[in-house]
Amino acid sequence: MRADAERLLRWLRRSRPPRTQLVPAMLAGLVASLVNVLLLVGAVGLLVASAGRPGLRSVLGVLIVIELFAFLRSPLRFAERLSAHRLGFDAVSRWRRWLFVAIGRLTFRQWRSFAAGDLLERALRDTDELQDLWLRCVIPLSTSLVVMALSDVFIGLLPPHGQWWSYAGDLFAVQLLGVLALFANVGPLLRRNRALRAARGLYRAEVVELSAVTPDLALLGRVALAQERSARCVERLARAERRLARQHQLSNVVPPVMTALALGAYVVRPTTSPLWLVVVALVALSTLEMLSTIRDALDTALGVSAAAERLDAMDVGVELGHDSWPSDSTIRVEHVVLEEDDHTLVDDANLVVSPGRRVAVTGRSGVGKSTLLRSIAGLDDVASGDITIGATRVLDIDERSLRRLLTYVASEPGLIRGYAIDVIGLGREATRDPLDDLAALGLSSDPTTRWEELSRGERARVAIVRAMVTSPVIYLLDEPTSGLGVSETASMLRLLETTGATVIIASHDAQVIEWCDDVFELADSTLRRVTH
Amino acid sequence: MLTALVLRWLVTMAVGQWHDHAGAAIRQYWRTLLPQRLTRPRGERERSRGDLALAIEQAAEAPYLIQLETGAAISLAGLVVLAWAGGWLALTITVALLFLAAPLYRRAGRRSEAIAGEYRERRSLLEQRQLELLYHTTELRALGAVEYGANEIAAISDSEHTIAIRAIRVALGSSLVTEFLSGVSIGLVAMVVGFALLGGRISLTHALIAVLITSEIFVSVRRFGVEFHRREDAERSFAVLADATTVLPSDATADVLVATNVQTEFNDRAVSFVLRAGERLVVTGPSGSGKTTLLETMLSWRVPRHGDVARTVAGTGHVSVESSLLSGTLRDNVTLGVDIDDRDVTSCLSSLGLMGPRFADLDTTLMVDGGGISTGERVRLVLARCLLAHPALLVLDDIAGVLDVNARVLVRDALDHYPHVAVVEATVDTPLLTGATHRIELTT
Repeated sequence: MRADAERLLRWLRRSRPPRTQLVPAMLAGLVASLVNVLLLVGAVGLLVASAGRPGLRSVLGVLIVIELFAFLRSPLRFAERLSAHRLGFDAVSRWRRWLFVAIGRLTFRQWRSFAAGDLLERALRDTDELQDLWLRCVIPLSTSLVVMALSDVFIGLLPPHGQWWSYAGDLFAVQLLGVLALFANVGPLLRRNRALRAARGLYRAEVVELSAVTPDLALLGRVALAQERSARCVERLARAERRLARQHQLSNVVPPVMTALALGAYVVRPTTSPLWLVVVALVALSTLEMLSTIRDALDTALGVSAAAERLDAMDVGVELGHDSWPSDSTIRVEHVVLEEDDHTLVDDANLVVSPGRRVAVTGRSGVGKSTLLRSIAGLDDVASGDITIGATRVLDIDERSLRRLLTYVASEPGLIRGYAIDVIGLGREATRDPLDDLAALGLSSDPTTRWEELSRGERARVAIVRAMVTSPVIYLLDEPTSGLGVSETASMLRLLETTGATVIIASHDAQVIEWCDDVFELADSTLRRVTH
Repeated sequence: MLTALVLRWLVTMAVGQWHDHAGAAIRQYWRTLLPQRLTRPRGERERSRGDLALAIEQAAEAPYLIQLETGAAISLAGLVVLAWAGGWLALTITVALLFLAAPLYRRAGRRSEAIAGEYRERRSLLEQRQLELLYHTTELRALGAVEYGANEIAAISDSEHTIAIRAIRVALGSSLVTEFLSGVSIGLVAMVVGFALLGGRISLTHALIAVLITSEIFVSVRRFGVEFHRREDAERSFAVLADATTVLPSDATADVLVATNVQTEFNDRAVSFVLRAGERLVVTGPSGSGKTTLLETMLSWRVPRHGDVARTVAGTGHVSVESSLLSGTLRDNVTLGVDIDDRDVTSCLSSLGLMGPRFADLDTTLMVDGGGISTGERVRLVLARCLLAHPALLVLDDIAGVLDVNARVLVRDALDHYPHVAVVEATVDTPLLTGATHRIELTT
């Protein structure tokens, strides 16, 4: 429960709403709720006043006040909702931004585990759901609490002076009791809500599985099996739903019971002016609405806690390094062991690559070449051993310099759609002209070129040019020439040669292997040098 | 007044209980119906329309919407009470203002529809781009462009929200109308009954009832207006559920499979044949020529464009590269809940080459479509579950490609052990079946 509250607070903090937005949204909510209460109180008060002290002037006076409230109420509600939505939307944009940066810190392995499920797809909906945290939880909760406190003070100040304070105190105690009861029920609700979510998840998975298998079962006359399997999940789900509904009943009972208590305490008061009696009764009645709002706000918090939990699970990225780029850019791979799904992919790999050398890594597909390249790039973790550049561990190097000076190009480059200048620049500072590089690789383009459907070979060339933009001193390239012809491969190698940088290439391409100074083969989990 | 309030609360509680029960009943109905009605695979298009479990949840909201609808209707009955308590002038004011609200609502509805289209477009752009960026985060990080991706997400998100704010303005505008009119109405009614009270024409009780009932009438109408859009969601989910559970009609025949002038959406050439017990039909053709579509038509998973298909009522086994296993033990998967002797199961598995430590223990739990089982093994497991169910017809959809040479020989030999089973095989290259009695060649 405490952890859940902390989680929600963390997400609120992550959205960092500027005070200039938060204050108007809160104020609008507060005033709108107050006006709502005052409208009814005023209207009824008017009737009582005119019944007790007939006089045109007094009636007209109160009438003007009521009409003022009546006319004010709608624009105030409007302002409240709009500013709450604005606040929520801004928060969502910030959360989405945060989420992306958090996912950007994941190792490849962690990222893949999220990408394999539907967590990345869900992330968008989850950030949307969190929006309710502002809209339907924080703002209504805080405004209701303030309105209740103000109502108590208002009652205390009513004439005859001093006589109402004791009732105001009782009302406050009843309201406090109601709020505490609602909060006390949050813990059990949360537990049952979690059980329901788990049951829903199981049922959902079962439905997906059954919609794939049942057609085959039906053909074989074995639908009974599908029914039996589904029935088990349905029963568990229905039980979880019933249990949560029962717990909800408790929360539903709190507002009316507390309101009844408030009115009960009121009935034994000595009689004063009928006007104030009615006004106080109606203010006490507003406890029902306020407590109901608080109950709904807590329900919302329960609802969004699931989304917050899923999003928090993604905040497991590695700590980024702070060391500056070493003066010596020799790459050293020492006794490195790489694992995947609990089996050893690469065992005790050793490799030293001096600045400016060109190294090819070969081996059949799935043997671990890409994982090795990613580990050297600091994008994947190693089970044991060290990967250093100069004397600094790759993971200790400041992320900004590391990504500027060491580049990794994946075997199937993506994000190649849109204006050429955006696709290649990606918001980074260019230290060489990408249009020249594109031209050198036989792709003509200008700043207005827009790419839609590029062929595999074109994508490979664009990816290389994109990697070159920051003039890195180390290139880690995964099958960079797939989809390229002999002359296109030659121009790519020529262009790479002009940079004088260190190049490690995972490739099957004989032309590429020929171009490299050293060749290593990865087979049976072992990295060994092969004669060139 | 207190009695009225207590009554109101009790009614609200009762109605709330009713919609909870009705919602639970809807959920239970669909959850029970679903497994027996999922008799054909959901196509890509159907799947993209929504998750079935979610559709059931949304469909269960229907009673709540009915409650709002009836609530709004019942509150109109409050007009009678208003006339009785506050007099004809109070009634006229309220009715006039309610009527005034209607055209304003319609106008707002039309505007919000237009904006909703624009919003959906922006939203789908955001979804696509965010997923694209999230699926290439490693690449962006490798290039030092995580910040760029994050900024782009934030920018698209902001642009989505600009439209959303416009849509909300319109929606709030329409609720503002009722809020405003309700405010005016309460004020005016209060004034009218106030003066009546001054003149001694009505009692304080009547006056109080008049004011409270006016506010009550508008509350339900407003709530109905605000939740109006949820009706669309509920209607859409009912459509998704109805589509997924529609059982296509199929004819029965004493022969195993009879096709008469069958044309599918992929194939214009009419196909006719009569397949009897023990006969073998091979359908060949390049990929994209409509083999799977023809097979699915024979299984009554699709309606033929022309012609008729009749199939035996006895069991039919279907094996394709896409056939799925169930999460559970190896035994559950091959016996399908029927009591079969373990020795028969093991001998069937080993005849298909499924031997060794992974298949020795029938209580081994299988991970759905993965976890150490290759596609070739999965296809053979599905074939084993079909053979153990003693089908009259076996339909093999292009499975030869995922079987290695040894496995092909084993499967071919195993099929020879079932001479009474009619078999249909679709394939791009060499068929598994020997001694085909019928052949159909499809072209693109």
